[in-house]
Amino acid sequence: MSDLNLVLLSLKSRLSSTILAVLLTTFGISISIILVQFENHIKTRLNNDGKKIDIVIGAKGSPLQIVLSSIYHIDLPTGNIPHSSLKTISEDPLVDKVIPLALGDNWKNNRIVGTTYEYLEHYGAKLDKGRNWQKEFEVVAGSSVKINLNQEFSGSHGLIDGNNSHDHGKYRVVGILKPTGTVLDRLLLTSLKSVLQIHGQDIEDNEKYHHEHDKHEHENHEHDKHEHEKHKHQPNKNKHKTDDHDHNSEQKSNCVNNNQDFIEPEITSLLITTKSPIANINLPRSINKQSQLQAANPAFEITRLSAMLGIGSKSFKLLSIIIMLIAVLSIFTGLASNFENRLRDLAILRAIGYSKARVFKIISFEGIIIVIFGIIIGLCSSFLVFNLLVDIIAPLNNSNAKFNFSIDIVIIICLVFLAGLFAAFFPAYKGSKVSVAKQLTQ
Amino acid sequence: MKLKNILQIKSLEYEVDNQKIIKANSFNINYKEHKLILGNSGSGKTTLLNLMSGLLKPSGGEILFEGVKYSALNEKDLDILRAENFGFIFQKLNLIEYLSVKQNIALVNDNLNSFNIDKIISELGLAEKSNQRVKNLSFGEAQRVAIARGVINNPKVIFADEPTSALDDTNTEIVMKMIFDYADKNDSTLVVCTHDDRVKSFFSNPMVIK
Repeated sequence: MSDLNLVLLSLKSRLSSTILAVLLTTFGISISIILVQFENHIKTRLNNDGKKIDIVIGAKGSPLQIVLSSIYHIDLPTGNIPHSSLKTISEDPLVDKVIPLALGDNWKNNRIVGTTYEYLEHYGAKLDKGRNWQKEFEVVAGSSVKINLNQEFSGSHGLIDGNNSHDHGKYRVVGILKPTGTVLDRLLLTSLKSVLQIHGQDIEDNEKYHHEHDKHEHENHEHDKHEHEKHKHQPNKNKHKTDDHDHNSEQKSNCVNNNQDFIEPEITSLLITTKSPIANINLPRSINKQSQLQAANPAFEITRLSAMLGIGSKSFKLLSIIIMLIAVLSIFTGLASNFENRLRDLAILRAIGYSKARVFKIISFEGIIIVIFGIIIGLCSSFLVFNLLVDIIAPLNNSNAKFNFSIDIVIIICLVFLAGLFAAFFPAYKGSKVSVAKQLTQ
Repeated sequence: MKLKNILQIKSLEYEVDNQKIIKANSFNINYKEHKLILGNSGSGKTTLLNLMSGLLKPSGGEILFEGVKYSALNEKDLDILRAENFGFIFQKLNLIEYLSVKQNIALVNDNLNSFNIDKIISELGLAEKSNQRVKNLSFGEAQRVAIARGVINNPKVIFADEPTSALDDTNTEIVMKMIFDYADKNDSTLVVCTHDDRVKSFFSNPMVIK
């Protein structure tokens, strides 16, 4: 009879303790692998999505919320910021690149993002089908959005499906992107103008308004200069100052009155790449001084978030280590239980000519087989459970979480295998040292 | 030149906690000889058998199998010698309970022919129970399995320790006949240790130990 046959029959004779040991190994390995998968997924997504975005500017509120809503699209924005800030920030000498984002609507939980082509370029997105948007209400869809080319749809108000839809403005899909492995894969991208228009705002009005406004400001400036020159020779400065002030107010009031129906268009946020690392510190400081804007440093916020998540992840890691230890102990007790009875069987084997090494091998094999079964079932179940969780948990589903056979899995398998061997080692050693004559005559 | 003696026992001694358990004069066992070692309970028969089969190391003296000293062999070689040349029939049968009749017999040798196993099972009247776990067998049936395991490998020496102690007269005769038949068929040397006087009649020259 082969040793493997003997080992299998021995395990079968202790079926319940064998199953328990296999199940505990399975639980331990599954939990560890699933945790590693989640951690790796989160890490990869954080890195890919936040790549080369140094600062995010949004409305006053939680900086973390700004980062999560604008870079990762997993939270609601803190509010809106004036469209004019795009121009102001772009002109800052510390800024290299600014990508504006306008959020507000979704289609079947896929966010509709008004932006510029730079957003696509930033993530290296390439078209799989169709073309890029060229005019309003043309949309390019990310690779994992379940939508067809040329399909028309209305966006639902808000960032979660189920709210009122904007039936007055229908989008049309003109292009579909190749998978990028980034947040773009689950977005519907269009021009900034489309998103603003659907909410009754117009960038052109804004530009016109600001042009007019700037013109008045310029005229006022010239007027002030002239008046200043004139009043240099006049003693009652205060009087003239009051007049001057009034005049300015009047001028400005005229300007607003001319545009009294005008509402300053708003966007959600700005993604900024700075020219130097020092700007990542200085620029947010100066921006945060402005009342309307809040600058967030993604690297800082994500480190903070990781530290917060780390507590939970560490607890799970500790739990999986405890389960692993229980599994190792169960392998040990499975092999060592009834050891006195087993010693007699081992003595029989020794008497009929089985060497010590062979007996050692047979008992070790029992441990190894439990571990191998545990590893195989653990791997399969972790794969199934991970995919099930991805189906159930929307953020994972949205972020295209996929099971990856990484080096971490190999390390976990090796550790479990070694732990199983270690658990089998003591009974195997004791079994191989059995006193044959003593056992057989007892 | 072929040796006459398969086993040579020279001034054998065995001590436990400085207490002599065995002190035997030198004696030899010839090829194909049927040797009976008779002695009362506690006289050291089983210990002597264990020493002769290499399951115990003597404290003094020497044992030779086919001219080879046990003391000259390392543990691994002694294991091989035992596996290739000896068959055991133990007093307590010592079968592995979770294995079937067939599996217990097959344990002896990885290369045993299934046909030979079936044949011996059939000869011992256990054909119908061949796949049954030995723990479900009667004592008589289990004893036959132990005999089959002891002889299946055509050993040069069969060591039997109290093979009839739990049997009635009829079964004692059946079992002894079986053991003799297989020993004769395989040209095996037979060494039986017992306190059972009923067995004496099967042997011509019993050795009595006190």
